[in-house]
Amino acid sequence: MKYALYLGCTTPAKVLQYELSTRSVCKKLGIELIDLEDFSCCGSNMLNIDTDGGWALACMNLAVAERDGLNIMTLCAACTGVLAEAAQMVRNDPHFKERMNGHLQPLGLECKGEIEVKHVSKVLYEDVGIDKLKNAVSRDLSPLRIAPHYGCHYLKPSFAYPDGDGPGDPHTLHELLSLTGAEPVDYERLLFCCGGKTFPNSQGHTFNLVDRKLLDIATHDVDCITLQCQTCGLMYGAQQKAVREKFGRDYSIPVFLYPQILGLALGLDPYKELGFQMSWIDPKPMLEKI
Amino acid sequence: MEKRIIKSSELDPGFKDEVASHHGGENIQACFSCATCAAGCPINEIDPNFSPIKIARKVLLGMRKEVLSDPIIWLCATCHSCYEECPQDVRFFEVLNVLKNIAAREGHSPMPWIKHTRSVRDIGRVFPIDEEVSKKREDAGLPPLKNENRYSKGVIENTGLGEIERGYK
Repeated sequence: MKYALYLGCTTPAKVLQYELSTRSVCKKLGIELIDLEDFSCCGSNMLNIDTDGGWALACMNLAVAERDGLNIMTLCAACTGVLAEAAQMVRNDPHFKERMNGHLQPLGLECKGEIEVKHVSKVLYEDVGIDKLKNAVSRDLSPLRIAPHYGCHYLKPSFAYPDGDGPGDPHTLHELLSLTGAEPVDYERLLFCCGGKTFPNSQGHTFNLVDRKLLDIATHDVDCITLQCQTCGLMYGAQQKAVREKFGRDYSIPVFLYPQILGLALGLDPYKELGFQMSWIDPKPMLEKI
Repeated sequence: MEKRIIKSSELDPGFKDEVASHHGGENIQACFSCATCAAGCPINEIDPNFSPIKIARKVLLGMRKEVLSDPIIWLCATCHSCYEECPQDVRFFEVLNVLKNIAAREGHSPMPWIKHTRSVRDIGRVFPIDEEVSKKREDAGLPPLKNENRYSKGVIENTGLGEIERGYK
């Protein structure tokens, strides 16, 4: 099993615990990750001002991986959505493909739409599989109650994910958590957006979205939130103190990336291999329970 | 009440066709104003001023200037709920991208998106790997990363991104 690791812009600069835990978990499970120095930003934020240019950046990244015959493994939900949607359009829309390659040709690149884009959680769920992951568990996480958060772009647009969860009633992260022994806890605002894309322009809106979700989760007596996108992590984790102060709340909920939780179950070192020392909210109370 | 009167002399009846001529805007005229888009919109829940149905209706009426210059169109969280739930497959998320694209060409983009574009042009990434980050990566045992990319500048210059970015100070 071999993938080109697509880090995106945010994870390698701001959420190193996600990159570290992903590399450690993949190493443990025998998934080979290749770093390609020609990967750039996926183009997600550029879609705001020029969709043609945004998609061209996405297709450039697809072309770079295609050149080496590698499928892409992503970490960020937004990168996943943009790259997977671009790949679908290249495969299904000859006009789109021609226009994109018109942009790439001067750079000596061509995007054929021959590779797959898969989020790390999907690689774990589909390629490794629940049974094999379950058999690899060496540390029981059954004392933990965990609130899952999927991330909008992990599920939508559903067009980008023909065999995905679907937009309305996801289950894969629940299953990925259950296999560790932990209890995934449902809550009313399970699908509510983190607001990450509103953060650069309007933090007031972001904080309001974050607060509504955290207020809901806080009523469910969970040990942590587990999510699969670094931007969602930054909103619920890094911004939690600011949101708490702004609205006068007393919740304090640790936030982790899924490979950190799986890594614990696989017996990896919480700090050296999974980066728990970089947590936004103190992880010790949770770690002491297991 | 005077402000709420829509003057037909100020409308641009060709606006809906302009929007429909862009990739992603094709289905705007299928909207029958059911408001499913607004019902599932998280931004609409916290700020009723952001209303997908209201924006769609304004486009259909031809309120070009009012739509494009209104900062509200930049508030979308890109969650895609409107895209998934619309019974008419209007794909409001994509319609909104078309509106933002046109507005950006006319000087209305918020600066973060311009700055992100410039950063990707120059170093291939939105957030630089500076000295502090490099040190943290090294301490965590992560491989070093570069602040350069041989293709991103070319992509931005070959597409509308370059022209739009040059239109901003």
